[in-house]
Amino acid sequence: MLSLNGATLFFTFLNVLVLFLGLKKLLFQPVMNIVEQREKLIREQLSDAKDTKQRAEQLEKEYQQNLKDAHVQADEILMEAKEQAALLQAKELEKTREEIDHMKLQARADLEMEQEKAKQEVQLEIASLAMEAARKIMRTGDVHEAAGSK
Amino acid sequence: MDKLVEQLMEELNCETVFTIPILGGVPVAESVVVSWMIMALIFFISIVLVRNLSVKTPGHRQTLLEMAVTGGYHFFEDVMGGYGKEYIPYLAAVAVYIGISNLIGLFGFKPPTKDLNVTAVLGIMSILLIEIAGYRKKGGKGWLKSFAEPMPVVLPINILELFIKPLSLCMRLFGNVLGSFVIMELIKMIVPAVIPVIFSCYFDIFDGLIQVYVFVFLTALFVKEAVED
Repeated sequence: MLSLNGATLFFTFLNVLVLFLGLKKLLFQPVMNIVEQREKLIREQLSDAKDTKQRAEQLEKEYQQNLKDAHVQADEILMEAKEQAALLQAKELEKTREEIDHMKLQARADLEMEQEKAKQEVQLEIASLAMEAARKIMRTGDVHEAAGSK
Repeated sequence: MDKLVEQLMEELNCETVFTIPILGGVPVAESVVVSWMIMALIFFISIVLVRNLSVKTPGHRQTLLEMAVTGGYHFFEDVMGGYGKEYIPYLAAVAVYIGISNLIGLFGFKPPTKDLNVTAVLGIMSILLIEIAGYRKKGGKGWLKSFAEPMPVVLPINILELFIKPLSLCMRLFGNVLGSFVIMELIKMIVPAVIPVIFSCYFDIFDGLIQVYVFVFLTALFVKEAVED
């Protein structure tokens, strides 16, 4: 019962060694390989997802920047248009005012000319009236005076 | 009473199953034959379990298998604190072997661990593993120096430990298996039915598995001691 046997010791030693190598080759290594492969896969997928997320974030940033730029540009264009419109309006106003002034001047000139003409006409009328009067006087008797005036 | 003793002795004896007719006859003991059967069983189960492993779509069978293997690895990693990962497959293989050996008595075979030769070899292989691990980690000089640590006074004790460690591993396992076997036989002789089942749960299953745990746990601990700085 308590005796050691060389053959049994040797066989058992061999058995344990073979069992260890066999189990390692047949069970532990394949299973650990699979587990490691899966871990690697998961790690890769995680890093991929991280990259994709980063890219998406960058794209979003770019788009936002673009949008902001577009807004700024639109504002600029609007401002410019407004300025131009204001300028145009001012110009038009100025032109109209000038025209009005011009027309006013014209009207005044016309008026003055008309006045002058009227004056002249009146003077002419008065002269003819005076002549008429003189002729009448001459004809009625005041010859002296009429002769004198002739 | 004499008959009982005789019967017990008969059960305890490791019979020679057959003799290989070379070198003047090499006896092959029962424990060796049972070990071969255990090995065949383990290899067969391994091959069946490992078939069709998949990285992306593991089935229930594979999930359980992975849990068992990685669980074993984690257990030894915890015990050894991250040192000596390359020795884990050996420790796990020994655990499987002793475990099945201790339980195989339930199926009517004589447990190989009840043979002193088997536990002796397991103890010797453990001390070899421990010393080889220390040698590989520290080199020849460092390994020799480690006998004089923590102080030179303990040198004889450390040298004695080279024999004490395997002896205690060997005798603990052998004694437990033998003891529980003897007690079970006695119980069976007193009460042939029902009662032995309850005791069998403790002596054959629980104690058998506890001895597996103790054996590989201690070996792992010694390996850790040998390789840690």
